Amino acid sequence: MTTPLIKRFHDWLGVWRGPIEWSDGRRGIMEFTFESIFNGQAIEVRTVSFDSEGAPLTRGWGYLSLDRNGRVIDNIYFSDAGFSVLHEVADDPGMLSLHGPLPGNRNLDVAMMVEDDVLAISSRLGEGYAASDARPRTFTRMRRIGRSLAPREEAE
Amino acid sequence: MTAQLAEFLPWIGVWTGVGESQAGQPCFVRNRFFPGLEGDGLGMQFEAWDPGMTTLFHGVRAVLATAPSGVMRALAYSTIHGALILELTPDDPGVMALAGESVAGNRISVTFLQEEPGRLLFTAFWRPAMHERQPNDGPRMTCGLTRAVPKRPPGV
Amino acid sequence: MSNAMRLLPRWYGLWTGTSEHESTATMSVRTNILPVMEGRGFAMQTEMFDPSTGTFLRGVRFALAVGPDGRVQTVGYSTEMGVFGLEETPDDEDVLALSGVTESGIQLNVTYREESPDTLMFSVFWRPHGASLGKNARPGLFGRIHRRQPWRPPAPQGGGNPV
Repeated sequence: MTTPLIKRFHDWLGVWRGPIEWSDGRRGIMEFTFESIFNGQAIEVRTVSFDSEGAPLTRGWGYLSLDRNGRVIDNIYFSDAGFSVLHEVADDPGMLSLHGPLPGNRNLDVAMMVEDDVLAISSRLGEGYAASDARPRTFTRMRRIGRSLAPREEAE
Repeated sequence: MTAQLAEFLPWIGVWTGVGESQAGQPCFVRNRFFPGLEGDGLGMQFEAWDPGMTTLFHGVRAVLATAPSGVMRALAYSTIHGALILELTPDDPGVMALAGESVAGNRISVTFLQEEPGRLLFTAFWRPAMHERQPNDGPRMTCGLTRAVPKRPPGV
Repeated sequence: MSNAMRLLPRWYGLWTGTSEHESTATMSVRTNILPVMEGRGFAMQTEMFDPSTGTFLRGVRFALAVGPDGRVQTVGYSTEMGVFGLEETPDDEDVLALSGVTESGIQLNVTYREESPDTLMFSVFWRPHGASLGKNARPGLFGRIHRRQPWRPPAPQGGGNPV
């Protein structure tokens, strides 16, 4: 039996790695791991980024789950930003867009999409009521490492 | 890694026991502590089953991590409460006390107390949002946990 | 594709049930099947408990992947038998069959059969390497495990709660 969460995010499960450029200009390699937990009730997301020498730069952890209206909740931790609970906001089909508060009147928005075995993530930290959409974004485009977990038809 | 986190690292491993749920039902508990966040966090997987392990009453997956402010919190997903962020509250050495509210506003408290080497006492309770004044000394889940120690294989 | 690499992605998840052993009482079994090595292999992690006390009795962990020669092999550890390496052997299409000799000289045969999408039957038997099966070919350890979904509260606990 497949849960609605896994039905939607089956193609995301696994390990992804690729270059990242932070909004402040730093560059590195980002890795994301999506793992189904409690037989698809939630997806644990673990992240780590490295510099060109392989030293870890950032670490993160999160849980994707669905609220009773079927919208995604993502409670996250990032070593450089702290904790937050992000909620899904409307966007194009296939895109997961999330928004939530951070301590200190800051906020975080994240847009994620998987297409053709590429996971693209764009995020922006905003601060204050005048946070502008024109602020630079952190961007990463990761390729799937290893194999997909199961043929699509077996997940449904 | 913070000194506070290092205190809990000796707990890494699998712990099991038979106890009683908040609703008074007998249950089998398995809790696993494992390294997380490249050594900067402590992962946890909590499972409470009926004694025959046919129904998972409650599952929680979590990571204990340090915010940039220095505050330690547990980022978690609960099969009952959904997304959670609990705060590590000050307590005696050998005690991990976590408390907070779920996204839905339920009040949650979780405590692990090291009674002796290889023995933890687990207690937890949750109170629904509409019963904020319900005292903390109401019904709670309690279970003594023993570290899973395998028999030594012959010749090893 | 081997049975293992076809069946294990389907079996990804948490399973529990009971196990019988010739010389001990019924044990509770918890098996977690999950991808490892960036999805190139799978791990099977099994723990067995005394259902009355919750005490851990035995555990087995192994990772399974396709080797450079195309054969599916495992590297594993059992609290009863120590380190072992098994190899997949041909069997029916709904069966994962593994066989090999442990470092301590025990011939080990393990099978998992998919009885239904949410039920696996398993059997494990062992004997000194080179010894004949003898009259009694009954598995030493056998049981059934089921894919379990978490219990859900009957009513929502408040706004935004996914249950």
